Order: sequence, then structure tokens, then C-alpha cells
Amino acid sequence: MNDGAAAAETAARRSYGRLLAWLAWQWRDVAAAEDALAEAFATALERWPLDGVPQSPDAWLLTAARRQLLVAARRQRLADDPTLTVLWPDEHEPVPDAPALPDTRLRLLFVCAHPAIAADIHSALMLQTVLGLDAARIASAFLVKPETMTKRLVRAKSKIRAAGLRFEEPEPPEWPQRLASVLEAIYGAYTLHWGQVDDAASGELAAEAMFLAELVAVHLPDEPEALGLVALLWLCEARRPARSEVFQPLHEQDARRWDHALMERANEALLRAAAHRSAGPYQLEAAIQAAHVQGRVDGRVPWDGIVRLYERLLEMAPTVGARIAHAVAVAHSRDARAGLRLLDEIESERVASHQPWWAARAHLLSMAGMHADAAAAYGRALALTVEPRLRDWLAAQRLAELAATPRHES
Amino acid sequence: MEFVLTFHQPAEVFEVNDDPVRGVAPMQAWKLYMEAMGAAGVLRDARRLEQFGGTAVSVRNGKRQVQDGPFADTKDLLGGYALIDVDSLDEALKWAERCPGSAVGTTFAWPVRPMPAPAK
Repeated sequence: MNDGAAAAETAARRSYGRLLAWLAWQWRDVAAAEDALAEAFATALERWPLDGVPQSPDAWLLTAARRQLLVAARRQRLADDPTLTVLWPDEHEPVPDAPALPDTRLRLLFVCAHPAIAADIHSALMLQTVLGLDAARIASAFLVKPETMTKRLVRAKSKIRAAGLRFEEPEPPEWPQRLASVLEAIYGAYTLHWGQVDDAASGELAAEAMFLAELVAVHLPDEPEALGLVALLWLCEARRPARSEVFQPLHEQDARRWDHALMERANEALLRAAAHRSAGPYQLEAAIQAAHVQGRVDGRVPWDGIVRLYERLLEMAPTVGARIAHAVAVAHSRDARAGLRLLDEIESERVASHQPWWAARAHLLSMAGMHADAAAAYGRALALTVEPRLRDWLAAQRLAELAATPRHES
Repeated sequence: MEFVLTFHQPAEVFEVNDDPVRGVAPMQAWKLYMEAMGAAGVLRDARRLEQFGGTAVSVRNGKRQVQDGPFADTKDLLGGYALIDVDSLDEALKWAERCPGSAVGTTFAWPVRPMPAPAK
């Protein structure tokens, strides 16, 4: 690849979200801004190798994209549309230097997670608009057909335009809920393929999600939950190097291979969040992760403390995942049967095909010495699992339980 | 919504699955998969097909043409199907993803449409 093409690629990766957020904010139309920016990148790929890379690639791209938006608008005979006046004079004015370009990505994130847009498309919309991931890649991450994902994204963007969603930070009364939606969408993107952490593609997706989380935390340094999410993602990410061809639960991982510098940063972020004295689900989840990590380092997991953290988490966000994890913590802190009772309290239609519930159940049945039942539960978890390493691990657990089953029971 | 999942796998995979020793683990995985669909209440019907045993019949210009399988243009053979009833295509794809055959072959999810019904 020559310099011009390489520079265009770099600019695309580095600046895409910033440029798109700015254009979409001014134009209030994500789809039109995307088209214009794509056109500008295409032109750059043609021109830069011949003309040389401009002084400020971002400014060049922005000018080209704006020109494209104006051309497109004229073509649609929307010249009398008042929104055009925002862009009209700029055609003849020098464009601002890239560093002076205000970062409006946070506003774009708030628009992507707007309550008027279906919640199940929030993460995908963020990945596409702020990071420029293509629809096919997103579709495969969310396990839907590429054309379905494209349709959903297009629908969401038309909604943004049609509903005239405001590209501003939300007002105080709606602020907590709006921020929670943004954080949830980012967390959703991170956890999408958590089981497949060694897969390069999912590692990439995790990196994109972390980038978004850090973006929010940098822009909102006084939001403890934004810091909590960053801490949580860093704590998960710090364990990535310990993952290998074989699945290992956290307590069997080689802690020496963890990224301790990243864990340290996560703990600092968590402390800064805690200073606000306003606990929230992400801070609590991060604190639970930190406790597990510390337990691995010390050789003693503080299960009682973890149970208390889960109890507070359940008061705020009684998700199925948290209820399962709480049950496991209770089993370790008190006894297996108390944990099993908590698992059984979860409505069965919500967990009949939920792999973590079956794996947790199998683990607790094994702790309770009910090996035949544990083997059956591991079998069900196995059937609901796609990730090969986790499948291997579950299959091995199942065989171990079968081996531990007294003959008259099997 | 009803879907038919069709399970396509390379010939070598069938060889392994049919082997009394090497086939134990994969057939166990298939059994657990079918049980999971049954427990989830989505399974309506499932059959294994004789992957080499299919016979094709077509009529061209009034002439009957009969051809023995396998027919696949690819190296994958159709070895079975399951009729499932789920809420959405996304859910059908989730079950297709969980299929043990998807790790070694390909699982297709086909939306089911009504056939013209015979008059009563």
C-alpha cells in the first residue's frame, strides 16, 4: 500500500467516528452523513496517492464530506431547507483544523441509545456510526443475516431523521436513564462474544467496545457509573492473556499471565468512582470482579463479601445473570443447597435454554454430591454452548460427574 | 414461526458419526442438542436422512428421469432435518448455531410456508 492509501486508511480508523459525529450533529441525519463521509474517503483514496497527503487529513475529509452533503441536498432539491444554512457558508470558508473540531461523539452515542430507537439495535448503531464497523461484520457478531442487520440499521437511522432526535446531551431529569442506556449498549457490545475471547475478531469487538466506554468516561469524568463500566471492562480484559486453547474458569487461571498494569488502572478507576459515594450496577460488577481477582492472587476468595455485593446489585438490577452468579456465591459462602434453591427460584421459562443457568446448576449439584443430576445438567449446558473450548470443558466436567456417579444411580 | 433446519455435513463427518467408537461423542452431542430443543418447547419433528440414499426424480418432456444421490454440488451431504417453531428468525439462527453439525458442516434455516392443501 502506498503512503496516500495508508494515510487514508489511518485517517479512516482514527477519525471516522469524530468526523461522522460532527457531520451528523450538524446535519441531524446520520445516514446522509455516513454516505457523504464514505464518498469523501473514496475520493481520498483516489486523490491522496496522486496529490500527496494533505496537511490536515481530517479537515480535508470534512470539507469533502460537506461538499458531498451539499451536492446531495441540491440534487434532492432541498436547497430551501433551513438545516442547510448550517452548512451553506462553510463551503467558502476555511475549514477548522482537525484538533479544533469539537468532539461530538458523545452526543452521537446518546442519539444511538435514544429511547425512541429499539433497544436491541443500540449497540449495533454505535458500532457502525461511531466506529465505522460495516453492517456485515456487525450482523455476524449479533448472529443475524447481513441484510436483516442492514435493514434494522437503516430503519434506526430513518427514525433518527424522521423523529428529529436531538443531537444534544440529555436534560437533567432524563440524564440517568439515558446514560444507563448508553452504558448498557456498550457493555452489550463487549459481552457479545465474551466466550470467544481468543478469537481475533471478538477481541477486536471487545477493543471497540472498550474504546467507547473510555470515550464516555473521559467526557463524563464525574459519572461514577461510566468509570465503573471502564473498570469492569478493564478487569475482564486484563484476564484475556491468560486464556488459552483450553477453557479455564477464573479460579484455575494462571494469574501470572494476567495484565496486572491494566488491573491496577481498573482498581484506580473503581476507587475514583467510589469517591462519589453513589454505587451503581457497573461499579458493583467491577467490585465483584476485583474481589475474584484479588481472591485468586491471595489464594482465598472472599465469598461472603461477594455475596453482599451481589445482594446490593440485585436490589438495583435483578438480572438473570446476576441472580445466577449470586446463587453460586451463596453456595460457596454457605452451602450448595442454599444456592440451588436460589437457582430454582428463577422463572424456568427464562432459563430453560440459558447455558449459564445450566452450568451453574451443574456446578452446585456437583458440590452437593448429586453427581448424576450434575452430569445431566452439564449435558444440557453443553448442548446450549457454541464456543468450542467451553464445550470441551463442559464435556470433560460431564464425564467427571458420570465417573463420580455411583453405579446404582447411573 | 416455523423453520426447517437442514443439517449438511461433509462425508467424512458421517463416517466418524457412524463409527461405533469415534461416533460416541458426536452422537451424544446430537442427542443433547435434540433434548435441549425439546426441553425448550421448540422442536416439532426431527429425522435423520440416509445421506447417500436419496433418489432424485424429475419429469422432462413427459419422460421420467431418475438419478441416485448424492447430489450435492458441494462436498456437504444432507443428513437430516428438524422442524422447529420459534418466535423469530434470530431464534432459529441461534438454534442453528448450537447444532453440533454447524461446527463441522453447515446448518440452513428455512422459513416454512404452507403448501397448497388438498381439497376435503
